[in-house]
Amino acid sequence: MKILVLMKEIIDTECRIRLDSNHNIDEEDIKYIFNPSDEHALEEALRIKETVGGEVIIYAIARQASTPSFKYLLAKGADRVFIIPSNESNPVLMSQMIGNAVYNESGDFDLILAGVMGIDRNNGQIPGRLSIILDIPLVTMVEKIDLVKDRMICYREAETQLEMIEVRLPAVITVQRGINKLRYPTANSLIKNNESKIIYLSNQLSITHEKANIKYAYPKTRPPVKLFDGQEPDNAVRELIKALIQDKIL
Amino acid sequence: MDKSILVIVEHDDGRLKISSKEILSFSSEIAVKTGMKVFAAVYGSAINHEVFEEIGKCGVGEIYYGENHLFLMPNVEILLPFLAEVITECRPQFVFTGNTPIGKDLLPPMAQIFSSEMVSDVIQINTIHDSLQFIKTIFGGKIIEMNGYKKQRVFATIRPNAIGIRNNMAVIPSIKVIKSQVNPPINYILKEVVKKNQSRKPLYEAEIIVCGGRGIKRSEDFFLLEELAGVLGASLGYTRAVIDAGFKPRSLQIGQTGKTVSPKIIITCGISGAIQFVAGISTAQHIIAINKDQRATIFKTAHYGIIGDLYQVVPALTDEFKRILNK
Repeated sequence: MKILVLMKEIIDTECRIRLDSNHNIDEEDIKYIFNPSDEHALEEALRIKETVGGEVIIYAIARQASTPSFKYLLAKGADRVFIIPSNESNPVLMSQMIGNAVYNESGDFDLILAGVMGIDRNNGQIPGRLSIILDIPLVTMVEKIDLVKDRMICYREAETQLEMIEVRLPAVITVQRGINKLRYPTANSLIKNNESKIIYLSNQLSITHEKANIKYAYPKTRPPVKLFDGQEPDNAVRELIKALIQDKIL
Repeated sequence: MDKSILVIVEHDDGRLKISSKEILSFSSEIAVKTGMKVFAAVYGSAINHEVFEEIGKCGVGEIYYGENHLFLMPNVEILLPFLAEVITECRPQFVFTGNTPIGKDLLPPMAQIFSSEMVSDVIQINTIHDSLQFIKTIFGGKIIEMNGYKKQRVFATIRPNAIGIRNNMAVIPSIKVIKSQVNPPINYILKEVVKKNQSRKPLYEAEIIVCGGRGIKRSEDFFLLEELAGVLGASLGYTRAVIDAGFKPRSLQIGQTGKTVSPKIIITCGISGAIQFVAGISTAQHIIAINKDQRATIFKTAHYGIIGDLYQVVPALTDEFKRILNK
């Protein structure tokens, strides 16, 4: 089974994030991490490979400087990494780049796994867009999957119901972080020289696309909190409710 | 393409969902300011006429209705052809729906079919001259992103409870039934459904939320929050720590990797306020925090706070609300 995993390197939201003098995101002193749910997509791919055999191939749009972190993913058991070097953040262009790369390098894939959403910009657009570009079905927010012949049984929790969905492969499936527990690579696999398994692809696009005019700003600072001392809970609670009524919230 | 807005509507049990009311009434208000037209797209099977009337009450009169028994169990594969047909026919510049489970599933493929831009999880829309600017938060709420568009088509999912319901002049709805060919799904087959207990509103549409975190030490102590939620008619949510410990299902997780919510009031109990959690509640109108550590970062985000032990404060709060609400 040939499984492709989409992995995004994102700005760690724990970092202090600043705007530069042109009001763009200041990338100095910023730490990058893999998007958490994407790591669970990789884990799920590795588990499927361990059960039925096959290959796990990572596709990522990333900075050139990110090679060391991708070596970590290879040490976990991924077979190859295709990197499209770009700092593009527009989902239309990113999906097209990934779509082209997949079409050229892994046209005979069986399954694409990805995290449910990038927690940097909360877009969650790439998997859905890719399902149209590659003309394959899409199942989102999956918490458990079982492979049955050429189909995948997906368990997902919709808002009002739990669903069991049978989807024909190839398909795009997005997973939530509850789907599995991440593994750590062994020390031996970490020191292996596997750089040749990281392949840089072209980021050329032939489409013209009009992007949004994007501006950034800091959020408004919040007014200071109104605090009540809970040493005497009944008293604090009465004071709180009094304030809520005064401020016309209740 | 015309200067117009199409709103993809959600309804449940013959009632328009609150998030749809917000988007319809807001779009209708923008339309008055900018001279745009607004259309609604509704799908379902033998749906209650009240849904159409409610759309009219929001100020939107032109309705495209897709009727098919397959729409009772909607999914992307079934809905895309119908919605693509509506968009092709009414040629809107803007297509809006809620940042709800089905909205989040539908819009990315829909936007891709039309090779268009999409903005996810919008919290505010500004009119600038005769076009629109979409505001969202990024990087865990640390930065505001403003997306401006001139002439191109844009799809947007709008965060429920973020823009509010406007009171517009009601109009009489005119319904155009779209009889598109809907094939039973072959790729994506729903095999089994278990209905969840629906005694509480889903988190994304709740007006009041009681939320619990690491401060709750044992699984049998969650009744404290359930009692408070019961008195207030609130929905319950939890932090990642509670979910990862296996106490509650993942669908109830609030935060960056869970759900973003914007209720009128959220009461956080025993939550320290990690950035990943705060990112999920930053657009709540009024945040009330209960934590025993006065240096807890939640007090930087909260509007009101009680420094105290939740095991004492929460029952006291429940009793006081019971008293003033006469329950």
